Amino acid sequence: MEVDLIQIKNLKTYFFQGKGLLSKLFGQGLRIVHAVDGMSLTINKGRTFGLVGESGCGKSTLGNTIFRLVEPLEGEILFQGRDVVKMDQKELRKFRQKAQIIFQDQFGCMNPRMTAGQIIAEPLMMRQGKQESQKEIEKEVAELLNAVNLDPDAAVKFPNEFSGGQARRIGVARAIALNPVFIMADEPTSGLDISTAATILNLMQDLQEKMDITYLWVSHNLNQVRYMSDDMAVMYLGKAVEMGLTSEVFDKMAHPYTKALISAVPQVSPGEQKQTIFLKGEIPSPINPPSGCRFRTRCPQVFKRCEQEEPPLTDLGGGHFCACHLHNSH
Amino acid sequence: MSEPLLEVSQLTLDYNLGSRKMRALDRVSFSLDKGQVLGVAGESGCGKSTLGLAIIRLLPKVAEIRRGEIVFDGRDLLKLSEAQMDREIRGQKIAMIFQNPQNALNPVFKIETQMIDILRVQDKYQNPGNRKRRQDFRQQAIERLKGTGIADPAVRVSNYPFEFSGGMKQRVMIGMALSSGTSLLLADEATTALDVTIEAQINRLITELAAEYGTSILYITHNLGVLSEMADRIMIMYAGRIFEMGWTKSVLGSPRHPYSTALLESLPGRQTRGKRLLSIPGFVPPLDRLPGGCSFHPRCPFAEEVCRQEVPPLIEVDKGHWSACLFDQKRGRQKWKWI
Amino acid sequence: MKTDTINQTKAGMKSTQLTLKRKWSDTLRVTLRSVVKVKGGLWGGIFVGIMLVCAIGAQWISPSDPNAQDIVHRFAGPSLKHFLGTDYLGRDILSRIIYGCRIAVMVAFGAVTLSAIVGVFLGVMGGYNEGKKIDYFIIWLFDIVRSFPQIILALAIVAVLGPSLLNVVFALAFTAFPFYGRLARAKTLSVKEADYVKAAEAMGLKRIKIILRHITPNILAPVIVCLGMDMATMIIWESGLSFLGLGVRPPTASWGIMLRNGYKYILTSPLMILWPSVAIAVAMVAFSLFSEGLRVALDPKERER
Repeated sequence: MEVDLIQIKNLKTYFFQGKGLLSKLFGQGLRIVHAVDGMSLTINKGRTFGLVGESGCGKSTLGNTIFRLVEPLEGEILFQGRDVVKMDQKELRKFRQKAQIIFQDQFGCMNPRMTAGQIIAEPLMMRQGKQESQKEIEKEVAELLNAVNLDPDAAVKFPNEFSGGQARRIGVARAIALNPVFIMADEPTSGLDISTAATILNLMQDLQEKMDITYLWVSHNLNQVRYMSDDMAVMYLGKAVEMGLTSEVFDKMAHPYTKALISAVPQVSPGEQKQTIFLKGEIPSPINPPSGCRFRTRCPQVFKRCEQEEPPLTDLGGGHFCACHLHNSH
Repeated sequence: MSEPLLEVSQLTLDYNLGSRKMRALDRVSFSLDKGQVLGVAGESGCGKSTLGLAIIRLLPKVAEIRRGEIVFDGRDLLKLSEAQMDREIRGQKIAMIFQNPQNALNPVFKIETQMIDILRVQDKYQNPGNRKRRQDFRQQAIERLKGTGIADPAVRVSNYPFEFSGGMKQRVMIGMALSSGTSLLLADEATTALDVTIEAQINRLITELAAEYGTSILYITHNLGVLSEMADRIMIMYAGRIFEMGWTKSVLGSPRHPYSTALLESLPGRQTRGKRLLSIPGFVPPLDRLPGGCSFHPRCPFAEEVCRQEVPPLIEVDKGHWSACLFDQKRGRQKWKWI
Repeated sequence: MKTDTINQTKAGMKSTQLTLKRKWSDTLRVTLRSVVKVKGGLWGGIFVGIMLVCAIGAQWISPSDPNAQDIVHRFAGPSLKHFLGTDYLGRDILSRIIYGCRIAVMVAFGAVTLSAIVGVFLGVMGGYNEGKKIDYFIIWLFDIVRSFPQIILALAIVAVLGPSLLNVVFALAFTAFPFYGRLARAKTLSVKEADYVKAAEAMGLKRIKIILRHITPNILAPVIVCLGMDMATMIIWESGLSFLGLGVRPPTASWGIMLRNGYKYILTSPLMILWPSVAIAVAMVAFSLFSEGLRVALDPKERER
């Protein structure tokens, strides 16, 4: 039986640019970046939800909004039935201990003036209701380092003394320190070499099995999302264009953007001729997204209706959703 | 057809960093035919970028070439003077594009200004006699941009770099670098920073332009998938040495070196959900403390005493397929298997 | 896997000795060592060290009492008894220079520390609350103070409060704190966007802890460098104020007062004005070199070179 851990309903996050006096004087006016524009999705407990899309599609903003690092304009984020958007500071702090982030920049997310041990100990020390001795915390740090396959002497090193893969492990150790139920992994293998990335992927799968963690896997790497995730959503300009079981999305891809995206991923397949769908042009700016279907400016199968009407996210059967007029008969 | 354009032999290069000496390239030998695409793959620190910089001779001061030669079009590039390199090679016959086009474009000048500068230099050496006007160069710049698929080139040419996206900047760089006179293009992680759909566009552009001009490409990347689609031949490097080299199909389809096999097995995409990826134990060794013998032996489960003692030679194991593994050479492919 | 088991046994062996911090002395030693490696940093360090020793141990180091008058041997040249000669009251110049060093270091150190503490506190508060009312108030405060020429403001404050050591420190600190504030605020603006601050927020850390643990330590490097350079400036200003009669009170030995006394006799016995000038110049150069060394030492990118 699957249980919803996180339910996002019609979430919108906009950024406002040009509020300052200068831009008012020089007439650029207020510009609204539609970073996340009406996303709804459900993340089930114990599973991995892959969120893919190209840069600027709003996938990282969506992740940050779940943690309220960015305030949403409207919408609901239900975490175990409670709305994160309405939480006060105290509740939010509790929520943030159950949900953790693994940041994209493995070095940037660590205070350069703290040792790895201090970095990992930090969440341990703020657990509420428990006053622990330094000794116990040190023991726990050692266990955490061991859990991510690092030597205990790593505890006294500073972030700049680690390699990329090791730094990433420290980020993982910090994230699992408080036994979270949910972890958002934002491009967790960016900047890592192939073999190091494989080690991190293995590690994160093991942890998921052992600790029953739910992942939100934000990545632009489709191969990785296919390998890691159970469910997935493809985002384009702040909206989901396709969503469903990962196997369904890859096997029965319906949206022209998903097709182009998947066909563009370079595969190691010597000798096979792959049909790459080349898209025209670049991603439009999220400040002035195109009317109607947002993908119509690049879509190879565009027709008249796409310009006038925004396609809703419709169920193609079996929880496989797609937002395209081609699959929306009426 | 198989006329060699570039022949590198026994190239050995050190970085002298104070007391530490790092061997970045160790007896690297290969050749690249005219019109061919050679992919160079490997993890960071394997020397693949150094190789590109060595060919175009843009190495940092601490680098010292110990031995070897780089024969390009019948001439050893290492013996040319700086002035000759500038006049005949760099930006003329050999062009290079890098990972970060934003660093290569000066933000305070218009695209046209920067392109005209480059075109003027190229023209000065190509046709020393006649002087062209700025207007002609501008026209030429617009044509180059048009060739790279930038929409509205006549307008965009007078834009500033910040008005271009990453993919478009890379197009500009390609437009500046590639001309009909270019016989070798060095692409160092040229599409790594780009999104997949843009990456596909740029790679197609590079392939098409190269085919049009008859340019050979040395495509340096860590992405084996890209090489699988673009390269005719592939070279896999590790810690400054070539481990495996051959036709794309045979290297990626039936690799003969344990390291290349492991690299392929650790890529998600071949594996299905739930199955563990292969992870090579240990780390890439730092270049100033390379292990003796085969530099991969501490991480290789098949290593034997002989691997610790002898440096494995690069030997042709199959037609046009070279590999540097003693174990494979002595015992044969059937004897070793990962997992 | 082999490596796993090795790691586990290692963890089992070492987990009892695990510590999270590096020793303070280690960090200090590493920093000082890299200061010394910088060109001139060594000389700067040596002279700053000499000055500190002189300031702390003046009563043991100086050959005689700085205020003991010996009218018979007025204006004496250098001799074995008085290495640098005597002044117009027959006081030993060397002893007065050493005691003057104490005043110089006290004023410079006090003023710089006070202004840095106040400035960093306000700057971080402003930067962290960017765009809020408190930020505007803090900027406004900085701008008001900075709109007066520094030396005039210092003169005015001392003139109102009366000349004394403490007032000089206060006046100099008051004129300098907006500079630290501006610096700290600008640095805070960039540091607070760093991923590790976001990570701390996402972890649910309290704001005060974020400011203390994650922001402040990471903005201190440029502040400390400025501190070193300002020490030199403050020494000059202390001398200036004392020279004008607005600094410490005579007969306390201060380099400024020595200049003031000596310039009357500049034609007849120039040595009296030469020595304090040399002391001021050496102090200036020493602190500048030392702070340049610090700048490099505190920048991890530069240090690796």
